[in-house]
Amino acid sequence: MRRANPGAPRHGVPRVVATSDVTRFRGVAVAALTAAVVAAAAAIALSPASSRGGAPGPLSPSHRRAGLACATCHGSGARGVPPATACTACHQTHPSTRPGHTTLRASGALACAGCHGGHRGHGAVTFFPDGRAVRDDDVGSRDVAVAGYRPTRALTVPLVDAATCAGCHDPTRAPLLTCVIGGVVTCLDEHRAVRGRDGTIGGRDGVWEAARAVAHALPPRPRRPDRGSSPWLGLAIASVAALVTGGSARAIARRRRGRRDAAAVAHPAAPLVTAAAIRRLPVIDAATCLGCDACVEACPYDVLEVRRYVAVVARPDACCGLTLCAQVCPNQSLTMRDAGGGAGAAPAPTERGSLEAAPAPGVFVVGDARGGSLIRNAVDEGARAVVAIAARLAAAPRPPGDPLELLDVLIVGAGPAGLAAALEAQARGLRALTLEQGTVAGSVQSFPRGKLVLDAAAPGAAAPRLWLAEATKEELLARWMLIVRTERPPLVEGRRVTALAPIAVGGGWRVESSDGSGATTEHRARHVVIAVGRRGSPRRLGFEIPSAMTAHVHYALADAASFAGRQVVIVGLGDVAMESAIALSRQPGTEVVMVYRGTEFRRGRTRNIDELRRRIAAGAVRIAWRSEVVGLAPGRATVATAGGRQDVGCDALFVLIGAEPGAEPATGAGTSLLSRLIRPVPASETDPQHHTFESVDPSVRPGDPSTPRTTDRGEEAPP
Amino acid sequence: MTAELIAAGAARDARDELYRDGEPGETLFVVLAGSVELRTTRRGDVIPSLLRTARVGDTFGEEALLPGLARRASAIAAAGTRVAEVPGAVARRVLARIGDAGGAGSREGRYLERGAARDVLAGSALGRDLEAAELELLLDGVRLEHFARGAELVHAGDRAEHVYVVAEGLVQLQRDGAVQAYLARGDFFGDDEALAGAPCAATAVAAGDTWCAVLPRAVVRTVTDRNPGVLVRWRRVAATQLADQAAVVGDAAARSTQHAFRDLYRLQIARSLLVIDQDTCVRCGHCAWSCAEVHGESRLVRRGDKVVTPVDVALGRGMLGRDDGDGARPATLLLPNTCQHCRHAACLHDCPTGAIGRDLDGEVFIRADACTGCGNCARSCPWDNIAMAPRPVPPAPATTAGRLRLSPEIAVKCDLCREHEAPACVTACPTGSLLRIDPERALAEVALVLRGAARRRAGTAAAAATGAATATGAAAAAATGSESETETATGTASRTTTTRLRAAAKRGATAGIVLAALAAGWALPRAWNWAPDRGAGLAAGAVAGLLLLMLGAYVLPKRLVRSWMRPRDRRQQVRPVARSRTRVHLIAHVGLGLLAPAAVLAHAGLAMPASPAGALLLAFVVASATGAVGAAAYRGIPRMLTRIERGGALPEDLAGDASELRARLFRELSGTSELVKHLAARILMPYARAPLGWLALAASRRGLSDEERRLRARVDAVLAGRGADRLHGLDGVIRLAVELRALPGRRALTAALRAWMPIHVVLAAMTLGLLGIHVITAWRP
Repeated sequence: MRRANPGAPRHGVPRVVATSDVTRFRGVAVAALTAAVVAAAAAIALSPASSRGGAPGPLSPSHRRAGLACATCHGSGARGVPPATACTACHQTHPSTRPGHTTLRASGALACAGCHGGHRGHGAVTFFPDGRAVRDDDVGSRDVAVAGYRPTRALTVPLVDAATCAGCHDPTRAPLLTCVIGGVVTCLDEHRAVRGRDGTIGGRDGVWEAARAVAHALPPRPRRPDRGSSPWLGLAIASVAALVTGGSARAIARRRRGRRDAAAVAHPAAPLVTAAAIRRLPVIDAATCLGCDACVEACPYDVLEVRRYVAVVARPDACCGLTLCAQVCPNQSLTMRDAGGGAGAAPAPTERGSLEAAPAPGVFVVGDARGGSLIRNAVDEGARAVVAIAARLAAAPRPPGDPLELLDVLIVGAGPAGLAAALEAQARGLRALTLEQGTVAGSVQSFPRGKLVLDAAAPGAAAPRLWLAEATKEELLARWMLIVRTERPPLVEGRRVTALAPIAVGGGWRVESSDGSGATTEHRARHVVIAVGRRGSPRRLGFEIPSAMTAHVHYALADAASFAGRQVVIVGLGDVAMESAIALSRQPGTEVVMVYRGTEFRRGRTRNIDELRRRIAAGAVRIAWRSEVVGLAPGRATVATAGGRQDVGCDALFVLIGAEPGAEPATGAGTSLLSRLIRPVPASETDPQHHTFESVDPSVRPGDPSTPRTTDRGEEAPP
Repeated sequence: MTAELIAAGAARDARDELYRDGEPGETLFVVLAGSVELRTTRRGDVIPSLLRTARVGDTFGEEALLPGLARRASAIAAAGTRVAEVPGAVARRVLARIGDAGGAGSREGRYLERGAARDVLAGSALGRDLEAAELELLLDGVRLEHFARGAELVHAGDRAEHVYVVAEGLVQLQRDGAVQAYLARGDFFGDDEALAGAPCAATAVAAGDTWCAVLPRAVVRTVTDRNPGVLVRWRRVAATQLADQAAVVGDAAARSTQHAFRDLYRLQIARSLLVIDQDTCVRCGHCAWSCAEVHGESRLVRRGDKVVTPVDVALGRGMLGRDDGDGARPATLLLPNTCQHCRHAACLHDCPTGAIGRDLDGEVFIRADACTGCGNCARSCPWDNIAMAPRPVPPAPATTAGRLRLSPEIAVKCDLCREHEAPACVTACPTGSLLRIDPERALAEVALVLRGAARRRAGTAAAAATGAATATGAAAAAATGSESETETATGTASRTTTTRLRAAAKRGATAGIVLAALAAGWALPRAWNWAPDRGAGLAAGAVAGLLLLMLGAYVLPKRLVRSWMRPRDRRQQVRPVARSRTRVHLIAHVGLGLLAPAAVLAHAGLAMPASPAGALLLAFVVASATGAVGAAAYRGIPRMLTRIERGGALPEDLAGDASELRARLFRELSGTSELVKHLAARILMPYARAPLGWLALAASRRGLSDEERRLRARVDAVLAGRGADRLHGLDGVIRLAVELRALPGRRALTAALRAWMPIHVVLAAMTLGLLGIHVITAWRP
C-alpha cells in the first residue's frame, strides 16, 4: 500500500520529507553488526572440532570405560600431547622396537600418544576374561565373540590409524602397504614382545594375534566425516540474520519517525463542509495580524485578502466554513466565529431525491445545474441519474420497431456530472451520446492553477473512478483525460445544445444542437441528462440576437488564436473578461473593444487589472466606460454610451458578464433552466394532426436520422 | 515626512563605507549631520565615479523601499557624519501611515521613488553622458516599475510608448516564441521603436523579479534631441553586447536543449548555487544524508533541473569537467532543490517577522526563534528550496500571557552549515561531484551574457582582488581566462591530447600494479613454499588483516559526519572554498581494495576449508566481488544514466513516474488532430512500451534529444510529407514517448547504482567479524 506522501504540498507549502537518500541506509548498521556476530558464531559452530583449537573431541570408548578424565593423562591444566608416562600406567611399557621409532622416541619427538590417540579417531580391541571382546571405532563399540583367547583380566589393544603413519610413511610402499587393512594398521609388530613372569611370550603375542583377527573381521566402519559444514552455509545464515534484523530496524525507524512527525504537526483532520459551518466566518484581529498571507494561501476559495498589511475577509459569501485559515495562522490572529446567520440563512445540503425534472419526464438535471456546487456531488448525481435511467429501461424495454437511432440517453455537458453519466452509461451498455459545447471538463479547467478540487468521496458514492483524494485540479484533469482517452465514451465536443422538444409519438426528446459555425444537428433520445453546470448558462444580453449573428456571439473564449485579425467586442469587465481581452489583444491584428457599464475597475485580480491597464496604454485594447451593447448586426455592434449611440466594427461579440445562478435549490429540479432550454414546439408541430417528428416543416426537417442532417444557418442573414 | 522617518529610524555615527554597490539594500538612510558621497561604477566604465552627495536632511538608499532592488551605489560618509537608519519595511509602513494614498502614490512616496530612480539612471550609461539638468528632465518622467517573474513588460505589436532601463533582474526579449536577448542591470530596450513611434518588435518578459526605470517616449525624445550623440553611443554598446550574446546562446542551444539560459535568472540571482556533476555523481545521496545528520532533516533534495554548460575548470579542479582538463567539455550539472542564497532573496523580503537574515558573506539564513511557520518564504521561493519542518524542540503549550507562541513548524533551508567550517554536503561527497559555485563567475557562458565581454574581465579581476567566494579559484579563473583568450585552438587540442594520454597512462599503471600484485600473491607462496602459519605466509596474513581493517575503517569518516565537522572559524573573513574530503578516502578505499586480494592470496591461497579461515576467505571474496561490481557501476553507469534522464530524480520518484508520464501524454494528446492521435497509437506508444527498449536506448549512447530527432525522422518517413499542417503538438508527444521509453532504464540503472552498497556493507561486516574469530583461533599455540 502506498502511504500518503508527507511531503505533498499542503496548500502550496512544501514540507521537509526524508527522501530515500536519507533513509536508504537505515537499518544497515544493525544488519552489518548482526551479520558480523552471526557469521563469527556460525564459523565456530560449523567448523570441525579439530580445527577449533579446543578439546579434540570426546574420549575413545575404551578410555571412557576405564573411567579416565582429562587430568588422568594431561595432568592438571597442561594441554597438548600427554607425556609417555601417562600411558604406561595402564598399558605397561612396551615401546616401539623399530629403529626409526626408537631414535625418535629417544629424542622425545615421539610418544605413545603420537600414534595412538586417546580421543576418538583411533580404534581399539578390548578382550574380557569371559571370552567376550569389544571392537571400538569412531562410530561406536561392537561386541565380538572370540574363540580361543581368554585373558585373565581385561586387556585393550590400541590400534593405529593409517593416517597417523602417513605423516612420515608413504602409504603406497612398505611397511604401510602390507599392514594397513581398512585404514587400520594391523601389523602390531613394532612393539617388542613382553615376556610374562612365567617366561612365555604367549600372553602378549596372543593378544596381538587375537586383535589382528578381530581387526580383520571387523574393519573400522567409515566414520561420518568431521569436516564441518561449507563456509557458504555460515554466510547464508549470517545474511538471513542481517536481512531480518536490518528489515525490522528499518520498519521500527519508519514507524517511530511517522509518529514523531504526526505528534509535531498535530493538524486535526479538516472537517467536511456542513450546512451549519457555512455561516461561520473568519474574524481577524487587525492589531496582531502579521500580514503574512498564510491564511490567504490556505483558503481554497479565495475568501481572504491582505490589504494594507492586514488580512481581511474580502468575499464572505464564498467562505466554506473550513478552518484551514485558522489552523495556519501563526499567532492566532484569525479565528473562526459564528457569523450569526440565523435560521434558514443557509440552504440545506441538497436532498438527493429524484433527479428527474418534474415538468419534463425523461429529462434529468444533475450537477451544478441543481444548485449544489461540489464536484463530488456532481459526479455522484451524474452516475445516479444513469442508474435510474437504466432501471427504467430495464422495466420498459425498447418497443419493437423503435428506430435504432433513438438513443437511450443523451447527456448534455461533459463536466464532472456529464462524464460520470457517460461512463456509467457506457458501463451499463446503454446507447448514449454526450454533447459538450466546449471541451471536456471545461469549467474545471478554468479553475485557478493548483486549486484543490476534491477532499473526499461522498459516502456510498457511485462512479468512484472519478475521485481522487486531495487532488489538485491538474491531477484530476489528467485522470479524467486518461479515462476519456482510454475508454472513449461517445462524446462530441464543440457542440452546443440549443433546444429540447418532446417527441409526441412514442415519447422521448428531440435535441437540437449547433456547432461553432452555426450548423445544427438533431438527435433523438428517450432520456436526456442535463449536466450543463453553471458555466453552461451564461448571462445574456438584454436584446434578441439576430439569427445571422448568433454564431458570432460567444459566452466563453476557447481559443484566442482563432480570432487573429478580427474586430472583437467584449461585454463585461470581470476577471474572465479581462483575461479574455488580454489574450485576444495579443493576437496579431486583433482589435479589442471592451464595453462596460461602470466607470472604473471595480473588482478582479490586481494582476489582471494591471495587465489590462498596460494593454490599454499600449493601445491594444480600447475600453468604453458607461456603455452598453444595444444592437448587433453583421459586422458591427451598436454601443450606447452617455454621449449617444455609435457603431463599432464587430466580427465577434463576447458576452462575459457572468452566469445565471443555477436552478432554484428550493425546487431542486432546475425548472427555470428547463424553461429556458425547452423550446416551445414550433407552430407546424403544434398542429394536432401533425405534431410528430416527421411532420416538421421540410426546411428544418432532418434527413436520414442515422446521419444527422446539418442545416447551414449561414454567415449571411436570411434573405 | 523626514521627521517621521528619522523618528522611526535609529540614529548612529557613520564612518567610511556605509554600504557597497550591488549589495542587497534593506535600510534607508537620512543624513542628520555631515554628508555622504554616493559612488558607483557605471556600465562600460572600470573605475567608480561620483553620483551625488547627500547632505543634511537628504535621504539616500531609497532602493530599500523597493524590495529586490540592490544598492545602486556605494555610500561613503565624510568624517563627523551622523545618519538615521530606517529598515525598509519600517519605512514602507511609515509612508503608508502618513497620508491617505500612502506608498508610491503619495507625494512623499514619489519623492523617494525619484531618489531611487536617480541613482538607477545615474548609474547606467545615461548618467555618464548626460548633464545633471538633463538627468533631472528624465527623472521628472521616470517611473520605477516592478515586474514579477513571468510578467510581460511589452508585447510585440503594441504601440511602443516607453523606453525601459533594467534596474535589477533579468528581462527576456522574445520574438516569434524564441528568446532574442537577455537584458540585465543597466541594459535598456524599446528606444528604437519608441522614438520611431513604431510597434514593439519583440515581447519583453521579466525572467525574474525585475525593476525597470520606465521613461516615457516624449521625455526620451526631448533628451536625445538635445544631446544628439547619446543615443548613438548607447546603441553601439548595446549592439556589441547583443552580438556577443547571440553567439554564446546560439552555441549553447546548439549543444543541448538544456542549456544554461533556460533559467538564466536563477543563475543570475544565485550567489552560492549547489551544482552536482551528473557525469560523476553516483547518486548515492550521501550529500542529503550528511545534511540530515547535521541539521536533523535534509535540506537538500536531489531533484531539480539539469543544465549543460562548460564550467571553469579552475573551480572544479579535479572534479567538474575532469576528463580533458581544459574546461571545454560541457559538464552536465544538476541544480538540486537547495537554497542558492540569492542576491535578492524573495524569501527574505516576504518574511513578515524578519526571521530571515543575511550574513556579511551574503548567506541567507532563517532564525528559528523568530520563525512563525507561516510558510510565506516557502511559497515565495521560485525554486521550492524552502520547506516546513517540525520545530526541533516541540513548543510548550500556548501561554495566555503573550499572544505569540512558538509554532509547531518552522521553515528550514540550507544555511551553508554556518556553524561549521564548510557545508556538509560538499565535504561529504565521496566522488567530489558537488560544488558550490557563483554561476556568474564559474560559468563562462553566464558571465558573458550577464556581464558582457568587457565587464567580464574586469569582473574576474575584481573578484580575484576581493577574493570573494573563491580565494584561490577566482584567481586561477582569471589566469585561465586570460590564457585561454591568447591560446590558439591547436594549443588547446594538444593539451587535451596530453591530458588524455596522461589519464590513460595512469589507468594503465594502476591496472599493471594490481595485476602484478595478484601474480606475486599467487606465485610467491608456491615458489617459496609459504605456509599461512609461519614466516612470510604469516606476514602476508598480517598485512591482509591490516588492509581489511583499513578498508573497513572507510566507514568511519563517511558515517560519522557530525563528529568530524569542524566548527567555523569566525575570525576568518572569507570562508575557504569547500571541497570534498571524503573523495580521498574513497580513492584510498578503492586502492586498498585492489591490493588486498593479493595479500590474501599470498596468505591463504584459494582453498576454503570448513573453518573460520575458510569462512573468512569466502566472505572476503564475496565482499570484494560486490565492491568490484560497485566500483564498475560507479564508473560506468552515471554517464549512461545522465544521457537518458531529463532532470534529477530520486528513485522513489521514478516509481510513480510511469503513470504520471502516461497521464501527461494523454493530456498532451487531447486537443491534437486525429492524425497525431493515430500516430501516437500506431508508432509512439508501441515505441514507448517496447520491452527492453530502454536497454537499446542506453546501449545506443544517444541522448534523449538525439532519440527524439530519430523518432521524429521515423514518423516523417512514415508520413512522407503528408499532413504536415495537422502535426501540431506532435513534438510534445514524441518527447513524452521517448521519456516513457527511457523510464525503465532510469529505474534499472539507479537500482544498479544503489543496490550493491548495503550488500557490500553487510558482507564487509561479516568479513571483519570472521577476521576477529580467525585471529583468535589462529593465535592459540
